[in-house]
Amino acid sequence: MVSIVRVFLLMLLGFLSACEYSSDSERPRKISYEASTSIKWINENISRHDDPRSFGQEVYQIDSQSRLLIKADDLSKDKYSWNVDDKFKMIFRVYLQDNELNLADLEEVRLCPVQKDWMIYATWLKAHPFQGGMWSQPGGDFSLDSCLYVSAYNSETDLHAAPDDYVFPDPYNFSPDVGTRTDGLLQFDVTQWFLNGPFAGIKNKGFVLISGKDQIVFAERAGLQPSFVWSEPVY
Amino acid sequence: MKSLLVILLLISNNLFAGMSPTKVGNGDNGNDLEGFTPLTSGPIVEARTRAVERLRSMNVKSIRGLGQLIPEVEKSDLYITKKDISDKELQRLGAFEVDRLGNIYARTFARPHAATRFFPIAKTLREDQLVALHIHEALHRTLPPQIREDERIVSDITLAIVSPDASLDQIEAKMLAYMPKPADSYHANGWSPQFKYLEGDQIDRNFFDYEASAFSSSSDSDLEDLSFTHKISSRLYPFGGSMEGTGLGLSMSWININEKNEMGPLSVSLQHHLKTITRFKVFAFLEHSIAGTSEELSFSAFSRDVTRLGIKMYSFKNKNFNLINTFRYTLPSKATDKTLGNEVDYSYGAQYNANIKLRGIYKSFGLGSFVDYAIATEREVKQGSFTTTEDRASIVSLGVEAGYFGDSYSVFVSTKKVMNDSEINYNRFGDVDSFGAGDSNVQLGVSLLW
Repeated sequence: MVSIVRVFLLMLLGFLSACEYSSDSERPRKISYEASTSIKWINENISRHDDPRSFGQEVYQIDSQSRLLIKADDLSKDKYSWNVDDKFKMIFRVYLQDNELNLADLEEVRLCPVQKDWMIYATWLKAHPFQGGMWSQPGGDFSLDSCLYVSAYNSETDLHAAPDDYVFPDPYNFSPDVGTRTDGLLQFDVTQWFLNGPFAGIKNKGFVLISGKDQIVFAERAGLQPSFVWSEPVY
Repeated sequence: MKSLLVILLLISNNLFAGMSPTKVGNGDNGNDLEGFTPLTSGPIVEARTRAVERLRSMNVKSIRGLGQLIPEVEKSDLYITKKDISDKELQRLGAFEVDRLGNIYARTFARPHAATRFFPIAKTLREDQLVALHIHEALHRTLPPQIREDERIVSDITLAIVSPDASLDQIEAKMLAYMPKPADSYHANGWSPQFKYLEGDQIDRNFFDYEASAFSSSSDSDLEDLSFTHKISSRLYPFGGSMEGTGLGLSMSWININEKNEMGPLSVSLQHHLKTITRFKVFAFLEHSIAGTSEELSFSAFSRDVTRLGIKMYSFKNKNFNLINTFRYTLPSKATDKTLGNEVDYSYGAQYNANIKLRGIYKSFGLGSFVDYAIATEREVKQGSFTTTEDRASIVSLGVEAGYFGDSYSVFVSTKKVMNDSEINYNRFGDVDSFGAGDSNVQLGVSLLW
């Protein structure tokens, strides 16, 4: 029995010594991560924080009087400590009911970082119903200057994946085939927010999805909840 | 030890005298006092000093009925007669302290501030015996009129005090056994019977109580659609006599919200009458309330268990007015609101509540007004990465009540109005039973007593 163990250890030692780390070789992408989000729909005409129309729905309409607050607490809790390399991308995905948006429509849809901490009880007027909970401006505290436009719309490529010229070795070829969609997939590149922007090393206060034109956004019950996705290299 | 012997002899003398109360004091014609002189020094005076020291060391003034014992021992004028007197002669005159050998040691009148007269034979007693004698005589002047002339009772209490292993608890227990019931005291003072039970939790008797409250809506409350609460309560005294034992209370409630009846909190409580030497009546209470399981409560900041403790004090100006002060402390506790599929955790801080009620009663009808002040300390709210701490909040309300307080039942109706200028968030207090869920309410109560 002892000899078998010795043989095994010798083989293992030989195997390990044969491995050689090469900084020149491309590191395969590992897997993609997806962080769940919590969503609260706020509308100018809804004042109750527990209005059933404002949560747990299949779709929400966003327009000049309605917005979608989105928060990914998992990202705030350091559940994921992502490995960053030159191919790192953090993408925010949103699915719209309309898959035939034109450029003008897309320019109306923006994702903005929220500047005041809010919770699931948020309404159009309040970030939360407790002391000091009023937004400084109705509809949420954010600056249009810091909003992002859509990076890709119904793209064949997931932005969070590696560049096209990168060849995934099997079995890491996870890039999904987005193919022909019945919904409209919006992808926002929020990488810089997490590397150098408002969420780099500080508490994530969430985002607000706004649109100057009426748009229907798929949500929790539809199974197409807005989400953050990214992939990482294997080290 | 000899003092015990003296007391035992005194007791046995009375027991053998047919167990009938022995009167102390009489319509004194002064015969027994002929030739008395004041006592200012000597063993009897020194023994009094020892007696006072002993009583002070045992803090007997804190025991109901003995509040004046030390002054009566310390301040009583002492005299000594020039000659002893026979027991037969004293029996003819009235009461006396006599042992089974027929020796008479001292005498007093059963009224406050009366003098103590010693007979020369008392000089033969040892100091500890004299100490017991001083205390015994002072008890005749201190105890309530109903019992102070009962030699058996006075001797028994004396024994409890001078016993070598005497303790405050033992003396208090002995006093409790003999002291007249407070209710009887009211009768003795000519007070109306209805003062025995001023409200549902006044415990001269057990009670069964129903209360209904109607709330005005508060747009800033999780329970803004709550319109009525109903509560059935009962308190019994299985561990002792009324007013003296510990009451065990049960309370269950249901609420009407969104036109549906939902289960409210279930509460268990203890209430105990604290002994005081004053005319105030003081009750201590402890209550634990378990949150109901209804969806409306579970999906709100009110979904918490609550433990309250406090005291309630009654003061009687006269038979027509009484003042009731209540102070309640609510322990910190937590609630989880699962509305919207996201858990929101509330960590409530301690809460304080003071209530002052002035009530006038004419015959069986009462009319009162009250002011209520509640303070909730900081509360922390967490939901995911969101955290906030709320500052203190308060509610000040004024109310009036009117009621009928009969012998076997009482009925009252009350209403109150919140005086805060700013809107109250009742979530902040999270306790429907204590603070309600709206700015004003009307309350109706019916109590059956027996």
